[in-house]
Amino acid sequence: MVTGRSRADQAILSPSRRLAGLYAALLVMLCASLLTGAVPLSLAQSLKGLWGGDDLAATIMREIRVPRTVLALFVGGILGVSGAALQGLMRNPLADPTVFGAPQAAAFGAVLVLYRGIAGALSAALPVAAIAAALLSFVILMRIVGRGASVVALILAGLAIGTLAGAATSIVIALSANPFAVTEIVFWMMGSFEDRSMLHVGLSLPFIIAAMAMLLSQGNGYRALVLGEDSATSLGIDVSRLRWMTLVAVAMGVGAAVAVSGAIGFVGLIAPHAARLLVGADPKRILWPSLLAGSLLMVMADVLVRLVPAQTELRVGAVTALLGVPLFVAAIRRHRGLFVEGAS
Amino acid sequence: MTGPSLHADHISLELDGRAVLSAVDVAFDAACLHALVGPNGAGKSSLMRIVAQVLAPSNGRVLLDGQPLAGLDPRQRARTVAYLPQDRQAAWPMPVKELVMLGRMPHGATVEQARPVDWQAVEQALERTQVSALADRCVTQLSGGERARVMLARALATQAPVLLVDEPIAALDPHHQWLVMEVLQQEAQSGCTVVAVLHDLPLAARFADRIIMLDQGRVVARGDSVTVLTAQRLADVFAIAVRVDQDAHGIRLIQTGLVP
Repeated sequence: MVTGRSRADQAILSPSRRLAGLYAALLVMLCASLLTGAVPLSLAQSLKGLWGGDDLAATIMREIRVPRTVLALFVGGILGVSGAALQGLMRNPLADPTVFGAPQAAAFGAVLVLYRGIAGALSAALPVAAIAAALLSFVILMRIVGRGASVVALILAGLAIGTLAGAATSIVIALSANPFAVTEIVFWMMGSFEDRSMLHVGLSLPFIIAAMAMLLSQGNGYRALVLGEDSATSLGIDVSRLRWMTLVAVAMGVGAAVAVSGAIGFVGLIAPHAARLLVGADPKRILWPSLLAGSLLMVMADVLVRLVPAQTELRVGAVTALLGVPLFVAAIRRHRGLFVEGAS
Repeated sequence: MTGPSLHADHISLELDGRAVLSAVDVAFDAACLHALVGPNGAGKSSLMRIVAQVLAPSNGRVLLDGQPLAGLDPRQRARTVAYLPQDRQAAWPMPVKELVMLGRMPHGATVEQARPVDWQAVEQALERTQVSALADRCVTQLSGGERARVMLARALATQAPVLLVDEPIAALDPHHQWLVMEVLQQEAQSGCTVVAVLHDLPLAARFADRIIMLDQGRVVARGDSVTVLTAQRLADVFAIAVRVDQDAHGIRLIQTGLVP
């Protein structure tokens, strides 16, 4: 006797419990993020400050810790779900916005308008430029490698785009009249949530939420792609529409995230891997857990950088890269078959 | 149930300036098992992809009961035409039954929202291809032959009136080759329009109601096995020497060598 509902339900029950653990961990980390900072505030002070008042605690909560926490939550979430969506689209566990050079390109777009004096730091032109640059990087990537490209070609082309965008970013900043150019370069290369305000939240959240909604709605398409493009098409999926929808959404989400937080790498690689451990490999089922795992990872990394005693605050992007690169290397080793000639 | 008739209407395909298919005009009828045969590179898979509407021809069109298939809404087309491509790889390690459930996608079903009728279709498809015991296994851990049968089950689960299968028995042992041919025959007998790309000419002769032979992008012969699979034609098209015997079951082909 096969399948039936009972067995399917049983199979779903255990991952859902694990998902509950993910929610709980995220909740704990969100609280930790609200309670961590340069100024020591007691739990009571923090809670009181959260709900109002005009004292220092309220100002710190409302203008520093809440925006920072909200940004980390959403930036991590969009990076996580972007990685899961790209992996589903490319049918490849190594796909990630960073590997394709998208955040680096988005940073370049933002830096270009910011340091050429085209727009101010809190102008809507900033996320728009970052989104446009991320989208352009995808178009260039697709032009270089063509359809049905091998993993090797995608990674190499992504490396080229990312490196070029990084170099261009540092040149634009260095040529500007900004006396803080060096620290700014680090910010745009490594990312941070330091000193973000509710204005940054308002600037990026609409794009990020729209991108999340777009990606989360494409689950059936990614699931059908498990069988390959021909089968997916024959099952009624418009694969080229799915491809463009995904790339536009990822560019929009990553672009908006980078515009307010700088380029933070590898979350899109780590989060889906974590999600697969929790709910299995189904490319539709991992979308939401990948979003949660990305949020958790980012909030956790952002708490960590505030706890480590250092001269200047650690960059959150450095933490995610420290976690992500070993995983990337491990994934390459595990999926060596993908790199054998003729495989894709 | 009687399935629709399909008509590949003067299909031409050019890839990089090379003519892959040249004005191929074939009709596929309901309640009939068609075998598409021909040497490597004859254009069989390309024709199947065009008929399945996953590849656009350079010229010509595919008609379903006289209406252009391309004009159909994608989901309705997916409910009407089930297609099993040659590529049997699964990109992610998913349980077999969930993979087969993808065949119900044209009916709006997903693993999360499957009606009893969808699970029934999945179960039936798994049984017919003898992979019920693998239902909870991970598809990437199966042997090539097992995976091929799982993929066929996925196509069967759609319960479409048109079934297009590209080399459905290529990776199978003799027992399962015969089994799959019987399944395809049953589909045709139940009224479906079935088209299978086959390299096994003796099995094609044994099971197919009609054989269409392609060579270098053109249809060189069509009809029943006795008409199409003659020693002379097999020598001309496949460059093989074959003895053709006729008995109560039709013809039997015994290959005796190559034609230099």
